[in-house]
Amino acid sequence: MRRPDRKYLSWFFLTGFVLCANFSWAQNNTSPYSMLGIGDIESSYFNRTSGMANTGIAIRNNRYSILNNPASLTAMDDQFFSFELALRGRYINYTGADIVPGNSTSRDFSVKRLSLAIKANKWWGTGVGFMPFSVSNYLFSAQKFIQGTTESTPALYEGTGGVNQVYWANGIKIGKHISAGVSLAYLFGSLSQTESVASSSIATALITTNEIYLHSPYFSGGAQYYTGIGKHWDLTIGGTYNRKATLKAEYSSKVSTTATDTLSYAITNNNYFKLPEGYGAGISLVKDKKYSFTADYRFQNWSALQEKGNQYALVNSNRYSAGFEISQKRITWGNFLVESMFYQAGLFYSNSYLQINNQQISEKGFTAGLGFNSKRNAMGVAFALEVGQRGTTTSNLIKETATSFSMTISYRDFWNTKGKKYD
Amino acid sequence: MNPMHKIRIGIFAILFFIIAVLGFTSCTKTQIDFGGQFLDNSYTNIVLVDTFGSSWSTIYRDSFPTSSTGSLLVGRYTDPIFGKVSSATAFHLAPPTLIDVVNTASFDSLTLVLKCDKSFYGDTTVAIRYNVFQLNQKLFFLEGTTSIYNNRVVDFNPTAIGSKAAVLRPGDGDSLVIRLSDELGMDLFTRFRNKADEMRNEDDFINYFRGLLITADPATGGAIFGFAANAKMSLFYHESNLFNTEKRLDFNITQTQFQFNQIKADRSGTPLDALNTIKSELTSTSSGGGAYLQPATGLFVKVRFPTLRNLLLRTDYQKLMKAELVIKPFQESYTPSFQLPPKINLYATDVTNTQGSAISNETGGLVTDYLQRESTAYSFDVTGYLASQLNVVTDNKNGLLLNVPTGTKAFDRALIRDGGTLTGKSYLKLYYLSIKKTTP
Repeated sequence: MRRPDRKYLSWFFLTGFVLCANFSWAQNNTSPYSMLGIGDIESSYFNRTSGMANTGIAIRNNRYSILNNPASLTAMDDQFFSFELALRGRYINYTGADIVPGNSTSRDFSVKRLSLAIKANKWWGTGVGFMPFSVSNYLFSAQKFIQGTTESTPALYEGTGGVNQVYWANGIKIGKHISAGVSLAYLFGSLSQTESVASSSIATALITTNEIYLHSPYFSGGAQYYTGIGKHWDLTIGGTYNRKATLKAEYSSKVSTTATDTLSYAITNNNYFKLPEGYGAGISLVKDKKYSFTADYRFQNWSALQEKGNQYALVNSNRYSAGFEISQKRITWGNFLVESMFYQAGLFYSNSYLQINNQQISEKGFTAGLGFNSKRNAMGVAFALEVGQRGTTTSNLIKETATSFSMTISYRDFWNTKGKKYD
Repeated sequence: MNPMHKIRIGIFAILFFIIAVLGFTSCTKTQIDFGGQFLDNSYTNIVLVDTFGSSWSTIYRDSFPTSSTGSLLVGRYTDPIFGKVSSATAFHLAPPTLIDVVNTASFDSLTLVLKCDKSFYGDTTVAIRYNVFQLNQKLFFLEGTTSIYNNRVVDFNPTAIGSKAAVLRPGDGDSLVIRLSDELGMDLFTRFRNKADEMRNEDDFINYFRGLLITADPATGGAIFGFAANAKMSLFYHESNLFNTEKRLDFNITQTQFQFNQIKADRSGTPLDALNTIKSELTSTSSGGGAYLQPATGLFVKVRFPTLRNLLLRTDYQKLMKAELVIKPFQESYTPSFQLPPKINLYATDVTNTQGSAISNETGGLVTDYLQRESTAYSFDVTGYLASQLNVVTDNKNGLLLNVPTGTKAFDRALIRDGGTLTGKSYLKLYYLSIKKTTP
């Protein structure tokens, strides 16, 4: 095999970073629930498991980095690195009492993940990357009361931002059947809410921007046990755990009448936002290296934080998912078994950490995936379609029906071995 | 194919995919009005205060320009609140272009024709007698002025050359036709037929015929009417021939700059009687809580906000967001005959009470409701003006002068209730921004 060509490798990185810079924050999918808590917590890993409803705690793959469980990094082919770029387009249709005809859909397309993973040696896989942790994005109008009167004036409220994570994940092989991994992430980002009052009640526009800047280290880990069962079956059992995290939250408020006329800017509060501990468990069975059956369960202990507000509370979240995959492989020169295509399907059901009007916001849906690995070069691409519903129209809530299409592009090659390239 | 080229093709294909998808991606955020119940928007507040005091007064000007208005105002009426008001008008006339008039031609009549310009004030159902006098002097500007003022006294021959009582319907565009003296008509006709020197040009004619003064007889009254500036004196004659051809010579107003309206007001029996050239300002507290606005007779209203800067003493005050001045007339002060000005303008003024520049958004539209009279009010956005006055740290004598828009000729007037907390009074609504005090 060739050494990585520096020129097109540069192309790939450059393209990835340019896309990230331009589109990562181009979030247009309105999410009414994202004004609460830390926003909509991203349940997708934007990787190969997206086509299996992101079921991947017990998935191990030699070509793609599966960050669902950092222990899986040890499954990568020795001496290879893998660069992945994931993008997602999403169309959402909203229903509910507060939805007006003609304003009931939103569309979005953005870069979601950028990662680089390397199989450093036989027993150590490591990777770094960038992906969203949560997203806040909403727009609604409400009344702002005028003190001293029974009058009110209409105001527009727009929420933007989210929390991102950069991570360094490591997986270490312990013996022949066990791997353990840890992900050291740093969460950072800001949640911004802008109130715009520009009505006849006031001669001057009033813009108030409240921003919460959040940042904290975030640790998670996992382990996988894998073994063969007879001649045809392979079993993997996985578990993940994340520690509680306390994000430092700096609250600031800026009041202005125009973009350049700032009346007031103040750090209004220094506080904390807590993330609960959570764990997950998964199992996968693979027959003849071709048919994979996998299931996950994830849980986060939000209730312990006892966070609640007017008509809402943060409650324990859990997620059930299952996936199925058919992997087509071929034998190459040197008697290597190489995957050329894969087909995926998945189902999921989750209860989010939000309970509004005594209704826990749940989500359910199915996924389908399709992937190609080039025969002639080092590229691979995985497509995933997800159709899901979140929320409900009861209790005056909003139901979102989302169709997502994601694409994970991978490039892999030898990294600089300075010596022998084959075992 | 070179592997590197394949990679590039692959990357371009992906970029193409991205661009294609972006084409379907919305650039605007969907508004979903859900979430107001979770909102904490108390960091900033808009606070309304409508208890700030205001000081109102009537400003009197004894003279004001009334020439070149394009309207001949004639009439008189008695206003139960504002007193007796009258207007007379005077103007020059120009001779018609000389023509040959046959010796057999005979003079028939001389008439003055005034066409209503549809403006009026008062009760139009009452007949008014109009008297026409011949001026004894030419009209002129006093030195240093370019206008003739309402209080100009003109010398005229007290013997009327024409008189007529009439009920006019100004809305229908009625014309007032007054037969003038035959003696004068014959004299003019003879001089014209003889092509006398005084008929050859306007100046010579005015030296001979100084012009006309039209007044309303003091014994009658009900309204003041506006007549168009195309008034004319018409001389009718006929040529004695087979057809007895009738002919007409028109003497038109050409020197419109010297046409003026002599407006007088008799304030006897009203609080305004105290006003004169020496005492030209009357506070509302000494005139029954009202301020009198009738620019056509020299009455203007001034309003000041002496305690405005107390707003800055409020601990939560941050910025003035809006100021609205609501001006209310006394509910019983206006009738269909004595109407309110449809619009009022606001001008900056100071201790001298002179009219300064118009403030932005100066025009206050009137909402008139004759049935629910408490809703009748003028409303002004005075945000910019008051924001600037908040910065005046010295004893602030500035104020706002109320006037009708430039060019308004009507006698519309308003008795404005001064400010206060009682229902029905004028008031100032101040909306200010308050920001919550926080300690990190």
